[in-house]
Amino acid sequence: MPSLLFSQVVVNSGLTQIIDAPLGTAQTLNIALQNNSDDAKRVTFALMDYYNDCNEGYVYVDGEEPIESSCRPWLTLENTELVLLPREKRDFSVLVNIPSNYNLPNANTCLFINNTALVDSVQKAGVIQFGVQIRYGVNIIYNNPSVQSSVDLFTQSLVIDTAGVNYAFELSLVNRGNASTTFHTKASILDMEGNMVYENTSIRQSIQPQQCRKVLLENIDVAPGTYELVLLHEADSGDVFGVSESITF
Amino acid sequence: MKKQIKNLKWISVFSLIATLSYGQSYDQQTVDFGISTHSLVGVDANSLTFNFGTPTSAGDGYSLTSAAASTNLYYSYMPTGNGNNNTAVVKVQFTNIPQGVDVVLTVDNSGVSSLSSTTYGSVGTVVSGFETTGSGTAVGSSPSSIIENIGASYTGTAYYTLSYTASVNDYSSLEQTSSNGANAPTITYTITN
Repeated sequence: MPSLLFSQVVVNSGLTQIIDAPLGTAQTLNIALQNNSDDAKRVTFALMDYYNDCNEGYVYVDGEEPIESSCRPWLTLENTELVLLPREKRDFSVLVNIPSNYNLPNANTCLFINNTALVDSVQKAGVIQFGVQIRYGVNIIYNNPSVQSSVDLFTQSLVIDTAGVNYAFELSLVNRGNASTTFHTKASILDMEGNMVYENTSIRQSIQPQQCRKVLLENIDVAPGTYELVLLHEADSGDVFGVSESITF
Repeated sequence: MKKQIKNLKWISVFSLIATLSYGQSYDQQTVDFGISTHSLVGVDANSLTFNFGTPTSAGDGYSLTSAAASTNLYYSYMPTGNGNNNTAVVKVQFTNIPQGVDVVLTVDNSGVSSLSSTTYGSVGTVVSGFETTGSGTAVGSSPSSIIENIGASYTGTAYYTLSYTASVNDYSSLEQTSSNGANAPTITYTITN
C-alpha cells in the first residue's frame, strides 16, 4: 500500500449532507477532517453549483451566478483555507442561513475540499508533468418542507448480462420528480403460469431530482424461456413505481 | 419446616426481582462498533509525466507524437448510513492541459475485479467508455466520472490502473506550460457521492 494514500487530509464525515429544516432558520454543518500526514497540510475550500445529467452524472457549473436551485448563497464557510497540523483532526464549519422566501422544493451545491497538489510541475523540454491533487466533493442538499414535492422514479433501460453462469440485470432509472429520496427496488420474475422463479431486493440508494441510478440484480438462475419481469421501486417518500416487462432468455 | 419453605420462596422471589432489575439495567447499553464514515483516495505517484522526447538536432521535432503514463488508484470508502450506498464516484480532471495536446484514459479494473465483496465490499465499476476493452475516452478540463457504483469498500493492496496517452493533435498550437503556481498543469481526482 503506498504511503501516499494516507499522506493527505481526508474527510471523515459523509459526502452527502442533507438539510431538512424550515425556511428562515439557520443550521451548522460540521465537516470532519483529518490530516493523515506527519507534515502540516494545507487544504482549500470552494463552493460550486452542479446539476444532474443522466449521462454525464454531476455537471459542475463554474460561474459567479448561482443556478436557480443553488443554496450556495446561503452558505458561509468558516474559511477558504486551513492548515492542519500533523495528524490533526478537526471540524470545518459551514453555516447555512435558509432564506424565508425560497419556493423551490430543494436546493443544492457542492463543497470541494482540495488537497494541495503534491508537487508542482517542472519545466523540461518535451516533458509535460502534472501535479496530482486529491479532492473531496461534499454535496449539500436542502429539502424544503414548505413546498409540495414529488418523486417520480422512471425505469429507462434494462440491460441483461448473459455472459456469466447466471444472468444479471442492470436497470437504469431516473428521478423525473423534484424531490430527493432514497429507494430500493424489488424485482420478481414470474413464469408463464404465474409462478415466481426469482425474487430480489436491491440495496437502498439516494437519488436526487434528474439524477440517474443503476440497480444491479445478480445471480438470476432461470431456465431458458419467456417470463414476466415485475419491478417495484419503493421510495422512502412512500411512493411506489411499478413496471413490468416480458423477457425471453 | 413449613415456615422455612415459605422463607425460601420469598428469597427466591427477591432473587428473581433482583435478577430482572439487574438485567434491565443493561437494556439501554450503548454499543459502538467503531464503524464510521470516511473517504480516502490515493494514487501511487506525486506526478504524472508525459515525455515526448527532446529535440537534439536542428530540424527535429519532438521524437514522439504521443506519450504514455500510468498510475495506480486506491481508495477506502464508508458511506453514511442513510441509504447512500453504492453511489460514490471517482472523477478525473486536468487543469491547464497544454494547448495542442489530447489525453485519452483507460481504466483497468483487473486488479480489483476479483476481490471478494464480502471482504472488500463494493469496489465499484468502470464507467462505460473507459474500459480496457475499448480505446479509451478523452479527458480534459471538465470532471469525468471514471469509476462509479462505489459502496462501502476498500481496495487493499489491489488497485485500479489508470493508463493515460497524451497525443499532439496540433503542433502549431503547442506552447510551453507554466511550472508552478495557479497555471501549473494539475490532475485532480475527486471522490463524491
